Amino acid sequence: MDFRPPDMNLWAALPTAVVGATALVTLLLSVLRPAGAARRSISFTLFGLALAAVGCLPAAIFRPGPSFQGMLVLDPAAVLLSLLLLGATAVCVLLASRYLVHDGVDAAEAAVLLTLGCAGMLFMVSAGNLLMVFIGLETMSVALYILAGLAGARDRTSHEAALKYLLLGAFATGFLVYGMAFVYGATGSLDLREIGARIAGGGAAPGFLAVGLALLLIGLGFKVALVPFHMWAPDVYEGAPTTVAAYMAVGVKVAAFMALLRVFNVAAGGAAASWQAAVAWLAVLTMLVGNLVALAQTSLKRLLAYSSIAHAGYLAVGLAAGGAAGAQAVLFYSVAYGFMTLGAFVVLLALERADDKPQLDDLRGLRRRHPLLAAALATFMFALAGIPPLSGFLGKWLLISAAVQAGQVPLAVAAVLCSAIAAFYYLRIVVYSYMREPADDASPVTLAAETRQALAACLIGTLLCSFPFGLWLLSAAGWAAGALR
Amino acid sequence: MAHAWLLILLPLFGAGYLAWQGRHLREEQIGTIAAGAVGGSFVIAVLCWLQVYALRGGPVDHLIAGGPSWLAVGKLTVDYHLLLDPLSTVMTLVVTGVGLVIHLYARGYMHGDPHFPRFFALLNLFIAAMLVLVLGENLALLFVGWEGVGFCSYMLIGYFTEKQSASQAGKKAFIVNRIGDLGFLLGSFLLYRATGTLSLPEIVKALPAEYAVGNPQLTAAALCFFVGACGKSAQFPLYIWLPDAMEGPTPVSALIHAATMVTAGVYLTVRLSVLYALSPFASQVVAVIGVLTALLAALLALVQHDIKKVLAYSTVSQLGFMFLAVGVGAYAAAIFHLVTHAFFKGLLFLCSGSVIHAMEHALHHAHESGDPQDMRQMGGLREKLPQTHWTMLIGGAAIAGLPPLAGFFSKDEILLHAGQGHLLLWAVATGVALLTAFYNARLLYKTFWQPTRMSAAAYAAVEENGPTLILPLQILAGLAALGGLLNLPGHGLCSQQLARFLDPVTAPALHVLGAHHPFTLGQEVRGMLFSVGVVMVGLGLAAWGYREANQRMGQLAARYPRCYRPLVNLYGLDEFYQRWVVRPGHQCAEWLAREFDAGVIDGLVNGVGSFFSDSAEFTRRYQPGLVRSYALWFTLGAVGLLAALALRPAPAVVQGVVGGLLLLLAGGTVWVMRPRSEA
Amino acid sequence: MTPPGLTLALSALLFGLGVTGVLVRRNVLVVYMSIELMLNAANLAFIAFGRLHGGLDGQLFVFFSMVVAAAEVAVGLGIVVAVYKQLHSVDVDQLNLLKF
Repeated sequence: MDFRPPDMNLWAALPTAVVGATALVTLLLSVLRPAGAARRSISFTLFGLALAAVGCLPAAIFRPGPSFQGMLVLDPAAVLLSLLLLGATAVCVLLASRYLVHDGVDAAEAAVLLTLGCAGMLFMVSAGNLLMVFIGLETMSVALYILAGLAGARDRTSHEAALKYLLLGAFATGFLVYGMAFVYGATGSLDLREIGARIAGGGAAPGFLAVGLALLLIGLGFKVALVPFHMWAPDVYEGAPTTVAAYMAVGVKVAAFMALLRVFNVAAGGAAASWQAAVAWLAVLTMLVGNLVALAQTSLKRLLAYSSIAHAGYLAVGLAAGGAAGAQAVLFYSVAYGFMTLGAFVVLLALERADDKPQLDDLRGLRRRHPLLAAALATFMFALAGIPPLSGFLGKWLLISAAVQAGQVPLAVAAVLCSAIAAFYYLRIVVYSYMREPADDASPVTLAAETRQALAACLIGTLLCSFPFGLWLLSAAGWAAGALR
Repeated sequence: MAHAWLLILLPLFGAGYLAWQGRHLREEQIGTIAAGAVGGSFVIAVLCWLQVYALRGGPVDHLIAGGPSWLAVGKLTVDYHLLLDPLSTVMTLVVTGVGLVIHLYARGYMHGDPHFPRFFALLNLFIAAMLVLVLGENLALLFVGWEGVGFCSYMLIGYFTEKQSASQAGKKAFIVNRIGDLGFLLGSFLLYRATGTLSLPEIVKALPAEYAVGNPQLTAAALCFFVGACGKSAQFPLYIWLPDAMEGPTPVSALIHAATMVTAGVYLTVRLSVLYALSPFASQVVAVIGVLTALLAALLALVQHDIKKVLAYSTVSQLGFMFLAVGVGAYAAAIFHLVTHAFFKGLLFLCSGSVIHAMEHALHHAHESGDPQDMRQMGGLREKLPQTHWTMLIGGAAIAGLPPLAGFFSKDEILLHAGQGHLLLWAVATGVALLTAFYNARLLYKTFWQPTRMSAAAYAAVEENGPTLILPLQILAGLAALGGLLNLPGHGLCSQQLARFLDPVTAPALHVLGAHHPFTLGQEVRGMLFSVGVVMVGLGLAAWGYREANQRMGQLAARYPRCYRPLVNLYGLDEFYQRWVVRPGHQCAEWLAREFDAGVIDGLVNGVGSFFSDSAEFTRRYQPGLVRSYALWFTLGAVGLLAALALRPAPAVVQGVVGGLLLLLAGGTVWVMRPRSEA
Repeated sequence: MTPPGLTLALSALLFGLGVTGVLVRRNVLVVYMSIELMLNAANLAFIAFGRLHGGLDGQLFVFFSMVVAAAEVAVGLGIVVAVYKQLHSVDVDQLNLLKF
């Protein structure tokens, strides 16, 4: 047995290492020096996240190969999504410093948990091994279980959300690990490249592989909230602090979808025949149920939760389409979705009052109460509805054309029809904020500095994903999809 | 031949410039620009005619003014090509020549009109569109002109926008023409199917080579085109729009609704003469409809009191004559009559305009209200409007067919050919000739020769119009008098000039029709004598009925109401359309709006909406907030997914059984988890 | 030595028991134990497959899985305690403020 020194390609681990270190240092500092910890930890965390983003650059430029025996793969797709996730985390940290603190949460604590979750997400998007997928997912999830319950002292539903998320999340983890065991059993490896090679070479036991892939789809499908594994999402989004809900809606979904892409589209691409139809059915079911139930929602957080379920369905269309076109569509849509959903949640935060959760009626007359906020909200809603030339339109167009290219025309038709349903509730939000008179007791809306910054970041991001700037992202996504192995 | 494009571009630029800058120009400038554009076109038209004339007897019989390609789809290519051949140059000369005269006239007639620039812009645009129509090398380009003149006609009929009746008349003309346009389009499609091209010279070449006489496909195409021609050229039963079109200014009536646009249908049928020659049935239809229209319209012209309406029905009638000529295969005669008709009918309209202008002026001067177009309020104008009287007398004599004026020769030619065809056609046409002489004499009697029925003050205020109006009358009077020279009968050196010139166009059709025996001198002389006799009878009858304001005609009308009433009611054709077309259409539309739109469409839309919101409400109830129920759905999905993936290679029976069991399980779960009312 | 097939069957049984436990038990702690049963079934499967393939990967994964599960339990029990303080109950069916 020959001994090979481990190829410790540290460049690939740099962003994750920086993020992890930031979390630990913040934690230690806030314990060791409690005085003024809040402000300091926020600034330090933001600095650390920025540093990690810079740390992605060498990977983007030098394109290092897999490191740690293929555990981490910082390929262009991973860099693209890492940057998105770092940005989303920064926005959430910014928002937490204002709103979570308001809920009686220690700012440093929130920042540390958000950053740790981010580290897990970064692991997931650059995972080259099922073990890394598992560890990343768990790191992220454990942080989120705590984050969901952070506001429990003030709001009972926060605790309920945390416990529901924990129980169902652990339940799903059971399926995930069991699936990993079966994939390992079928192929004899946990390395995604190796798995891909064995499947392509016909060296995988088909029965075990099918069971394993099904279980993996269940476990990861739970995280991205595919129907029928979605039921936690509305309850948890509604109960969790809005900042955390935003973080979950964007971060968890993007990271878990990248993992799905790596496991199914890349590693198990050779066995596409066994899972493609199932994913397509899940996609249709998810789009249908997500959009349909969103129609009946009056609570804005629940509405956005169902909206994010529906978007998981759209992303699954790209997954089912497969191939480079499908991967490109998923990558582009992840980024576009990240900005527009985060933006929508930021508007929600700005509208949130201490006593209850924002309802549709709270939007009445927003145009008069805060024209800028109304305009931003309208932009995000139009983007989510997929109205040209905004980012959502480009993304949906990519996804649907990928499905058509892959010969899955019924899937494409279903996606179009479900988008038509979706337009109704997105536009209803715009109608409420622009065409309804404000209630008599409607309070004027004022934006905190942090909210303004977060809103600006999301708006700029959405516009950069929209036509014509979005074409640049589109080609970047195409390039990243081509580099996926 | 690129200069041929200037023919169209000059009036087009005139129209564009007037539309753009007309508001800032004085009336003289506008008139000069508009008339100058048409005059320039006329000069070029003469040039083109000379070039085409020079081809006579040569191997080439037409010239093409090339242009860019318009569209190329599959095998179909359509180019911007202008066709210059004898027919199109004759038409071009008529359009630009008569057009120029009428432009000159309109400068005076429209003096003081608040929308002077708009009028001339539209008039120039019309000339451009008409030239596209006659010069278009292919059916597509021809159709552009066809629609263009229709548009201008619509705009100019409704020119007096403040008059409700004018805009109604414009709409009527437009809608009736749509029926004809549909026929044109269908005909084009059929011809394209038959020949694979839209180019007119190629169609004319291909048809006799590839199809036998009586081919049903060609008959269908010919009938479709004839429907188009019926719309544009106001033939039965679509003629109803033309009398109403008299709501437009009189120069418009003269130019568009007498001299040029309404002859487009005749032009089209002559252009496609091969098609009609190949389809005897279609030719018969054309002839019958033509002579029927001629008769019906001539009868209507007998009882009209509005001076312009008399002329309008007269136009319809004369167009019927032209179609009769086409139907019996006398294509050159049709064009000959088209040309002379443009002269004398243009003249008559301009004369009527002169009368109306003078009457308006007089009524205004005497502070009287009255209809300046109503012949019942005229009479005795011979002394007051001597120039108008003389020119109108020439026009009337020409249309009545008195030798040696233009109408005599052209109508005689048609009657001769009709006599060759069918005795009945000939007999009816002769009767129409009699009526034509009668109603024109009636018009002259009532307007000029009977004692005046105006008030003394108004009569005293009638003044002859100035030279701007009179000069064009004199030019056209000269043409109406001498137009017959174009195509003298007989076989001499000067005979049949126009027919010989048109020979390249009509030859293919005549070839299909077979040997044509030229008329003998005896036939021609007999025909001429007979028609002169007929005309004299008509004039004599008119003199008997209208001389010295006797009441004989009124008594006749009173004695035979069954003959008189239908004429006054215009055969009830308008009522017929109103009752059987317009009202059912309205009712249908109303029903659709009320029942179908409100019930079915709105119901469908609302139904879809409430379907989705109901099912949304239903579905959301399946999320009762209990963790274990979520886990149950999760597990159900997991089992389904596992089965779907793991059982893919299994035999269909196993798949079916497991699938059925799973569906049962799912259904059971849906039932067990059904939302219960919250007690 | 137990054949891998038998081990796998045992792991499937354990997993099924775990899932059933989650579905039928109302006590949060028992539910949690059932989930742990599922995780351990997965671990057992890893061991079995590891032996089948003769590599160390399976056993390695089990170590990580145990550590992660322990972390999850630590956090989970914290949350359960927090909920208990408010509800004075560990019945999962009491958690139904958030619904529809």
